[in-house]
Formats: sequence, C-alpha cells, structure tokens
Amino acid sequence: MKTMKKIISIIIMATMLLSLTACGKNNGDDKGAVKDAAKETGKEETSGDKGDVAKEDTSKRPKISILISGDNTPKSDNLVIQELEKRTNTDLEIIYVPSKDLATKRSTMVASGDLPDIFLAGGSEAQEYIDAGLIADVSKYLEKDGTNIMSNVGDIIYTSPMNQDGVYLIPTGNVAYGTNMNIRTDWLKNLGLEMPTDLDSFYNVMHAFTFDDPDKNGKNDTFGLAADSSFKSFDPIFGAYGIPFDSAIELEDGTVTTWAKHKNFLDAMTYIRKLMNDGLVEPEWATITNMDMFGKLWTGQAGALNFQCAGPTNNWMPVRYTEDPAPTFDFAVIAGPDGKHGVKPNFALVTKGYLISADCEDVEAALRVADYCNSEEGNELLYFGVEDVMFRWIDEASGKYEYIGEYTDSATHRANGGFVYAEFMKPINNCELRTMNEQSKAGTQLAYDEMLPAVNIIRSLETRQDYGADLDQIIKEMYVAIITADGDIKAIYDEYMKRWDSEGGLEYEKEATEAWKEQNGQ
Amino acid sequence: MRTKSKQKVWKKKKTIGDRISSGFIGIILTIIVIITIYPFWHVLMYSLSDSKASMGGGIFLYPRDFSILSYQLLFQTEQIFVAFGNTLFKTIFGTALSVILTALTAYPLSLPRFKGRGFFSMMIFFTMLFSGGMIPTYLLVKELGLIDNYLVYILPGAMSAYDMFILRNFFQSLPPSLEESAFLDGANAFQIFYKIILPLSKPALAAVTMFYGIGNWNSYMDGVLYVNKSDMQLLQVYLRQLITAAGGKGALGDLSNLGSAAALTEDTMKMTVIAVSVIPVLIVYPFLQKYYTKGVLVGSVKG
Amino acid sequence: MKNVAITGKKSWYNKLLLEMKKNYLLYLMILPGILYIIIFRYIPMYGLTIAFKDYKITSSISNAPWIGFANFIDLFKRNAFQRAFCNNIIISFSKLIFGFPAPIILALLINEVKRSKLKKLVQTAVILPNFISWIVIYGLMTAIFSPNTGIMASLASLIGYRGEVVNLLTNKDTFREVITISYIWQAAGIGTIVYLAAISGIDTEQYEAAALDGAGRWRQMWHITLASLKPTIITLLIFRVGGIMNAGFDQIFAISNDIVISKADIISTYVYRLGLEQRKFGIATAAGFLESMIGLVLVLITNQIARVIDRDSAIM
Repeated sequence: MKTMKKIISIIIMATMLLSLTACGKNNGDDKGAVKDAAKETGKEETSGDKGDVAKEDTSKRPKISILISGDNTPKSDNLVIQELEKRTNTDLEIIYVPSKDLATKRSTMVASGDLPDIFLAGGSEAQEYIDAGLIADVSKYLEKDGTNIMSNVGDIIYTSPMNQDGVYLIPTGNVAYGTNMNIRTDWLKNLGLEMPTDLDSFYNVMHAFTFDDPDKNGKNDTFGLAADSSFKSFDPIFGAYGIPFDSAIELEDGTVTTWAKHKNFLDAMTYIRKLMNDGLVEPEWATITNMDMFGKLWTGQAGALNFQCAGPTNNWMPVRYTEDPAPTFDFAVIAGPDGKHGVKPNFALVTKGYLISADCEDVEAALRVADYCNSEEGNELLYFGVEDVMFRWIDEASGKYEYIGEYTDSATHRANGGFVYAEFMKPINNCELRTMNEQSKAGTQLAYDEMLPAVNIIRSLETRQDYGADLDQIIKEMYVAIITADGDIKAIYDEYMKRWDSEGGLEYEKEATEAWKEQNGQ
Repeated sequence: MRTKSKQKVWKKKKTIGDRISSGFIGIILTIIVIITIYPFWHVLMYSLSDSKASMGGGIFLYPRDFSILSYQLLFQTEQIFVAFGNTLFKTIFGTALSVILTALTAYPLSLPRFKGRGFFSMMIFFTMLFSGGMIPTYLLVKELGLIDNYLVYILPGAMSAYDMFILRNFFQSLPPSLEESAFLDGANAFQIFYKIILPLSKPALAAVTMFYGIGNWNSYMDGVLYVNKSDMQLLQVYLRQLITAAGGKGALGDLSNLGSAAALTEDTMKMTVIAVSVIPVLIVYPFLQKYYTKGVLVGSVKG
Repeated sequence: MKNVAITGKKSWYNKLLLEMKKNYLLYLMILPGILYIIIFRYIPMYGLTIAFKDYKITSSISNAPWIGFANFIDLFKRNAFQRAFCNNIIISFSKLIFGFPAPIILALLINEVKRSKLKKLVQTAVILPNFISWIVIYGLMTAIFSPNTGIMASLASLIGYRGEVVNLLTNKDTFREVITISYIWQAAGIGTIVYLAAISGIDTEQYEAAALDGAGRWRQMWHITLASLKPTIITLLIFRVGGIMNAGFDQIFAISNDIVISKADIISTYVYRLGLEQRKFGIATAAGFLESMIGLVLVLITNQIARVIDRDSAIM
C-alpha cells in the first residue's frame, strides 16, 4: 500500500509539473506564431540521431524523409531501406502510414509546416502547395539526376499545368489497368457454348450459366455475373453502347458533360435491367462488399466478373479458388448494336505525382532517391527486395523469379521491406507488369486497346471541385433507382437529370466545355 | 457479510408473483445474452475457420475446417510485439494517469461548498460540445514537442469530460454526512478524498477505469497522426494494416508468392483481429466486475 | 482566458483569496484537471474560427481571411445537405427516444437477478457488441437479412413461407428502424455499466427499511433504485442531448447503400463525401460547428428542465 501511495503521488507530481511547463510554453498565445515556431522545432528534430546504421558514412549522407502509404507492417530498420540508402548514398527516414490515412497525415504535416521531403499529392491540393511556394523546382537537376524519370514520364512532365514555370510535380505516369470481362471457359466448354461476342450472345451465356447447371453438379447453385453497386461491374456493357462510364464526354453539339447524358444511356440501362430482372446477376449487388463479390467467383457460384484481369487470371488463381481443378478464364469483347465495343478509358495522370519539399536540405539527393526508385533496378529492390539475398531471377526476360531463404515466407519478406514500398515512384514497366503470366499480359494489353475515347480535361475545374461530389452522388442514386424501379425508367432518369442540371451540373458543363475547347486550341 | 444475511431475509419473503417475475426477467436476460454473445461467437468461430470454407458466409456455430493460420500470421513478425508493447504502455500509464486526474478533478466539483464549482463544471462540459478540430490540435501537440514522444500517448487524451461527470455524480451520491464527520475529526480534504471517498467509489472507479482502458487499447488515430517512427506504432494501426494487406490491393499484388498466407481472406483476418482485440478485455473485465456488487456502503455510515 | 480578471472589485478579490486559502487543497486537486482542459481543449478551439474563414492549410489559421457565414450558406444551399440535415434530426431523435431508456431498463433487469452466474454473464455479454466494428456488424446483418442466404429467409422457408422475403438492408421504408435498433444493440451495454455502477452505490439499508415496510420488489425498484439513479439519468440525458447531432458516422457509413441513402445520409457522412476529394476544411468545420451549436441550445433547455426536477444533477 505504501509503495502504491508513493507511485501515485509521484505520478501526480509529474503531471502537475508537466502541465505547468506546458502552460508556460504557451503563454505567448499568439496563434500566428504557432506555425513558424512549429517549423523551427521541426528542423531541430530532424537532425536527431538515427542509430547504428553504418556509423561513419551516415553523418555525411544527406537525410531525406519520405511519406509513403501502404498497408503492410515493415520493421523500422529493414534490409530494403538499408540497401536503398547505400545505393543512393542517403540517410532515409520513411514515414509509413495506412493508405486511407495518407491525406489526413499529409494535411496535418503541411498545416504544421513540417513537410516530408518527398510525398505524393495531386490535383488542386498539389497546386495549392506549389502556389504557396512549399515545393522545390527540380528542373535544373532533372537532366543530371533524373534520367530514369525523364525516360518514364519525359513526354508528359511538361504538359502538366503545374509545371509551367519549372518542374514541381513528377507525374506518376502509370495508366491504371483497364477492365476485362472475365468469363469462365471451363463452364463454356461444359455447356458447349462459344465466348460471347455481342450483347445477345452475352445474355445467352449468362442465362446458361444461371439455369443450365454449368458446373454439372446437378444443383441450381450458380448464376452468371458477379457484380456490386459500382458501375465498373458493367463496364463493357456501357462500352458496347459507346459509353465510357464515370468520364466526361463530348456531345454532338460540342457540349462537354457527364457520361450519363450519352444518347445511348437508357438503352444500356434497359439491357442491364434485363440481366438483373431475369436473375442472371448477383441478386444482392446493392449491398455486397467487394470481397464477398470476389468470393462468389472464388467459390464457383458466379461464372463471370468484370475486373482487372490481373486478379482472376493471374494472382488469385493458385490459392483462392475452392474448386479443383481451379477455374479457367478468358476475356470477352462485347459488341453493341452498332458493332462498337470498349471499356472506360484511364489516362496517365499529369496532375498527380511526387513533390519535393522546398524545405528539403538537399533537393538533389531527394531527386536522386526518387529517380533511382523510378528505374527498373530500383523498382526490383522495392518490389522483390535485395537480389540474391531475398530473391533470385530464374528467367528475367519472362519475369520468372523466386524468393530465397527465410524470405520465401511472405511475412518475413514484407517485414524486411520487400514489396511494401513497391508503389513508390513505380516505373511504367514495373515488376508487377513484368512478372504477370502471358494471359494476363495479353489481357492487360487488350484492356488498354479497348479503352474508349473520352474527354480528358487536364486542368482542375472549379465547378468540379465545388459540386463534383454532389453531382456524382446524383448519378449513382439515379443508377440504382432505375435498376430497382418497377415503372417508367425514362421518367426517373429525367427527374434525376433535372436535379443534376440544377445542382451545379449546368455550370460544370459550361466550364468543362470551355476548358476542353481551350485545351484543344480552339 | 451483512448483505448475505439480508438476502436471506428477502428470500423468505418471496411471493409467487416474485417468482414469476424472476423467471420472466431470467428469460429476457437469457435472450439478451444470446443476441449479444452470438456475434462475438461468430467472429471467434469465423477466425478459426479456413478462409476457403468460410467464404460462403452464413452462420458460424462452430469452426468450418478448423485453422489457426490467421493467428499464426498475426504473431509471425516481431513488429506485432513492438506494437503490442506500445499499446500496453499507453493502456497502463494512460489509464492510470487518466483515472487519477479524473478523480482529482471530480472530487472538488462534487462538493456543494466548493466555490467555482458551477464555473468549472460548465467549463469542462463545454469541451464536450465544442472541439478545436484536428489541425489546431496537431499544431498544439507539435508545439509542445510531443511528436514522436511517448508522452503523446498519455497526455492529449488524459481526461474525458464524460467520465469526469460520471465520477462526480457518484461522489455526489455518497452521503454528505461521511465527509462532514471526517472533517470534524480534523481530516483535510485530500485525506477525506483518499481515505473515505475513493474506497467507497470502487464501482464507479472500476467503470471509469474500464472506459479509459478500452479507449486506450483501441486508440488508432494518435498512432497515425502524432508518430512517424514505426518503433512507436500502436497495435490497432498494425492490426488494421494487416487486415487491409490481406484484401484490396494485396489481392491484386504479390499474392501468388505468399504461399499459404495468400489463402487468408480479408474477412478472416478481420475476425481474428477483433477476437485478439477483445480477449484482453475479457480477461480484465471480471476483475473489475466484482466491484459492481451491492453493499459497498453498508455500515460505513454508521461506523 | 487563464488569468481570472485581477482588475475586479477589491472586496470580491479578497473574498476569493480567502476562499482559496481556506480550501487550498481542493483547488490544488482540481488544478491539473483544469490545466489539462485549458491546454488540450481550449487552446485548440481557435480552430473553430475556420468555420468563418476561407482557410487553406498552406497558410496559418489566423491569416486566413474572414468570410462571415459564407461556409454555412454554401452548405445550406446544397440540396443534398438539406436532405442530410433532416435525416440527421430524424435519426438522432429516434436514437434518443428509443436508445436512451434501453440501458436503464437493462440495468434494472440485471439488478433484479439474484443468481450471480447469470448476472455476471449478462454484464459481460452486453458490452461485447461494443467491440465489434460496424463493418463486421454489417457482415452479420447481411448474414441474417439476406433474402437468399440469410437466416431470416431460411427460417421463413422452414415454416413454409413461400412469399418474397424483404431485404431490410435495401428497403427505404424501414431502414431508419434498422439504424435505430442496431444502434441500441451495439451501444446499450456501455450505458448499462454506468447505471450498474451507480446502482452499486445505493445504500442497501434503504432496501431493508423498505422491505420491512412491506414494499414489494417492483415498488423497491421504482422508489429506491430508479429514484437513486435520477441524477445519473439526468446527467447522461444532458450528455446525450448535447451530442444529439452526432448521429453515428461509423454506423451509417458502414451499413447504408445507394438505395437507402436518401433516408440514411446524415451531416457527417455527407461532409465526408464532400471533403474526401476536395479538402474543404472551412465547410467541414462549419458543419461541425453547426452540430455543436444545436447541441448547446438543446442542452441549455434540458438543463433548465433538469434544474427544476433535481438541482444537484444539472450540469450548470
């Protein structure tokens, strides 16, 4: 009891002292000064010691902090980072945050004037930082220290509206995967059907998948298409009607507007409704989670899924399917009434990329790190780990490799930094693409080739910033309302589009149309 | 001791009506137990099932294809022990400080003779309604030099107004005669607080300790915002990253090389993480629970 | 803020000094708590001015230009916000009306149980749902309500029902009830513990005296247990009213979908959607400020009523 008392009183005293000193510090109470003071303390902190990594060199190495997001749990001092420090002659501090908290973390760091040296940002946010003079101009270092960056994104780096009077933003350059309609070929074979090529044959295949027992188990336990409430589930259906979903389109009169105003929109919706009403699609599409939707494919309940092919045909294959033998897939290209086909286009983003802080003590070194990670060799290090320690190429040309030693265990591999930083400065020909199997490589290429034309306005639009979230929500609600409606879908469509027009849509159209004309030099 | 004999007196007086109502209450509470325990049971059984077998969903009364792969993966890396240590530090020291600070604040506010009681109560209550928001709080924490400092796990959330008022109310419910007689005996305010009020307030202290403990154990955002070093990672941050790694991006990324771990789905990982997070509470709770027994006050008034 | 005005009348100042001298220990005890509140709660409150400013994180809050009520006007002119505002009020009040009494009833019932095993089991069981995140609860809800694979559907077909099973998760008309009931299920346990702790503080001699007077079980419950809980009930009610506009972001974010969103979207989910890509700090702060102000007004009213009922338990 006595010791207890002692402990308690010590804690009480410590608290009082602490709060007193804390209070003293704050007495100035000048809120404007907070930021500058914060900046100074921040600098003092960064010059702290790092520990026992290569004692002699580290003091001379420039210290670079990088904000990286991801959902793994590497050790703080791991093999991959040590190797990267060695190869780029820097002393790295990696601030690793969960992906969904990246924006929050970045905001607080910016607000306190304590930016990491290298970080990812885009759009109006990046523009704001550049306008405020927080970002370093790297143009003078690019030639010498940015050779990989230039070979990756050299053709788009100067088209970024943020790089008009210098180079502030290094675009990521990667184009997101397009989607493929993945269809189970083993089921097609069981039923004696061909790969669908148009809307009618696609309907027939989905119908057969649902009612003709495609897995030959004698039970009525399958359906056609795995889907959720995202438009992506029906990407190639919209594509067959010439509609790039979620994109801006140009109407015949030159107006730039939402994809939902495409003249074929209601025809596409009628087709989708037919699939749904006839029971050929996941019945709980409105509430199903992403993982449960995949689960329907993994457990052999659904015979088709529209998704990046890298999932169904590549990495999920050996482990997640419950059937033996595992299902096989191929990709359908579905032509519409007038023979058109395609999927939603993705563009290389020129307004999202990596920024180097103007406060960075050695911009050249920071660029050097970024550039190295942008090389194929650097990406190999971040993706596989240290060569001959953590992994070994079996056949580099075809992308075959193996992990070695204790690193065959994925948890050990990732704890030592393998794979966890792979997204950072990922080059266009990155390890993920290089190691795909032949079918997935072909599928990825097919998806790129299928991408529909759409309006890609580079500069950020004010109306989009103001009303974008509201406008997108109206279209989402319209979509589910049409699918679940009993009656006249045209009336529902008109009602929602009237709302879209009045809640900022018309203003957006005006600005977008002008911006598009301007961008095309008219 | 006294309570027990008293219960006997009640037992003798039990009427048929009492028996029926007892049975009725028993049935209602049993139903409540079932609907509140089942979900946790579901989580536990799901976490012990093989991912492939559980993908169909539905009800889990027992594990399907028993597997502890998810638990193995959870404890495979050293990082979890680092994160666990940090969270344990936060839970023990953060909770201890919070309970002390809260009790010290609540006691004067419970005394009608304490001048400024209304003002201070109002001042504290006001913070329940209005808060400065994330950015100013971050700036403050940074200016106090608490970024990447273990004190950040203890200080910014040291007192919750809610728990303070719970405790104050309990102190108020104690008979004022206790304090008065001790005062006449020459005890000072702190002695009364420490020797009389606190021992009598075990039920409320137990509840408040539990609330703070749970809050600290589950804290997440502190570990994301105020800390940059992964040596200082909190358990919940680690666990949530593990869940996301098992699903989403991980599913597209490097899964083919993950061996058996790749067969673990996000859902299984999520269930495992919940089970692991609740277990410490289930261990500690019974110890606190015994303070909720009736009769702490018996005799103290007379004595 | 910190220095109590020294320039007041001298007699008043002397009185205060005398009082401080007499009860210095009490003031010393409360000092750390008050310092904590000032430093960690009041100093950051200058951030509330963001609601009335055009704030960008690249400049400091004090330098941001004042724009009056522009952020509030911007919010209210959006139809989607108006919808969220109305939903917020409806959902909040139904949670208050149905959710607030639940833990009181539960605590009274638990208190009536004499078998200590069942009692302990219930006490532990009721807090368990609190630990299960809404994402997982949502998974459980689909496992129960799914018209194809759910338990409800299987039970219905078991008893020979062949009609259509309504999916409660996609039914606009009943979705608010789903929100309220699942909220009670998840949150009632924590409140129960507070009440149980308060019940433990009741002097058992009161029961003895009542029993001797011939008061039955229900009368004891009504006149002693519930009467002793009155201050706690009033305090918790005031808290609940203060946070009334907080209608449960995590819950609604996890369990709503585009079919029911017109009935379920609340201010915080709406602001989240707005801010996600656009980082509108001014608007988000304005929405939070609005929620707090509504809470404050309602609390002042409730507190006034509480003073009439029971002076001691009122907050102010």
